[in-house]
Amino acid sequence: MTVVVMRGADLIGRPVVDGDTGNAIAEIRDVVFDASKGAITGFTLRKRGFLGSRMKQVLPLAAVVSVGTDAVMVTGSGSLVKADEAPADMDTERSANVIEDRVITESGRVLGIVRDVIVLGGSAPRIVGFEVSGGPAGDGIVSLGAHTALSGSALIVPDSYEHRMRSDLTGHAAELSLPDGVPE
Amino acid sequence: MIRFSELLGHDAVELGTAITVGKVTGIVLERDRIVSVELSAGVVPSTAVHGFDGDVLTFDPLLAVGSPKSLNEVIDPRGLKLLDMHGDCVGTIDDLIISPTGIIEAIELGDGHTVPGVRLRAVGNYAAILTVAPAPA
Repeated sequence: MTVVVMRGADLIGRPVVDGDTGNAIAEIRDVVFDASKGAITGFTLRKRGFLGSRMKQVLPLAAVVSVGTDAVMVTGSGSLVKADEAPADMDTERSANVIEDRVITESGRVLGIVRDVIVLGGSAPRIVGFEVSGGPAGDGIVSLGAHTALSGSALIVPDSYEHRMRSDLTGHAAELSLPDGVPE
Repeated sequence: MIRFSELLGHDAVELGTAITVGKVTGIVLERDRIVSVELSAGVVPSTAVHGFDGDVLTFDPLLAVGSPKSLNEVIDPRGLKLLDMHGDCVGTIDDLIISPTGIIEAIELGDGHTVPGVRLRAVGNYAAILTVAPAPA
């Protein structure tokens, strides 16, 4: 198994495949993110194909078998649930949109703007960092560390993060000490 | 043993009457087993097939009575992606190696590698799915 670090944008359009049938039952439309927990809680979906429309069903994280380089695997068509029947922590209306949030150090220095989230794939997918650009520290990746605070408009990081921004996914994967880290 | 690509186009001949009723046009799989054979003239369950690896496909028409036409099932898996349950693409199916009894012994990939057929979990409209590989000894 290859543990994959990927940008959130790379997940968009990835097929959701039922491992019991081999059929693609949806495509990823967006990642649902709980800012208070710093965790992925599921995915919104769209129908497959060109200009696929948004689906009323969503994919809770608990139903995901694995997020891989080529597909998001589930088992059984019952993996998808209606949005209003999704787990409470998967509130797609209140999901934090961290894109365009400012990244600010505890001392108040703005490091840049969040351009994307960095997702660790596999059987327990989670957000492990943010891609940041447009600030004085240059473009890079900020790890989602224990001391990070996140609101609907800003990401607060320790002052030391100003000098810890990684410039690439490879470095970020290494920082996570992934045994088989092979970034896309 | 016979390759799926070789099986395609074989004449399908009824045992007992020796009548050629059509040609093999596809197969329907359930995990690593062929459950039915698509003919140009209909469908024959694999239980009626006498042997898959001959020069023609022979079958018992008495056991093939009432075989329904398969719907929305993959009859030619060549070209399908081969995914594992991690969501990683292992390759693209180039051909299948089929035993005389209709078991998929091996999956041949476009890059020349083969995967044991016993790992075949499902074949669908998007991909063929593999079970998780056993841990190396």
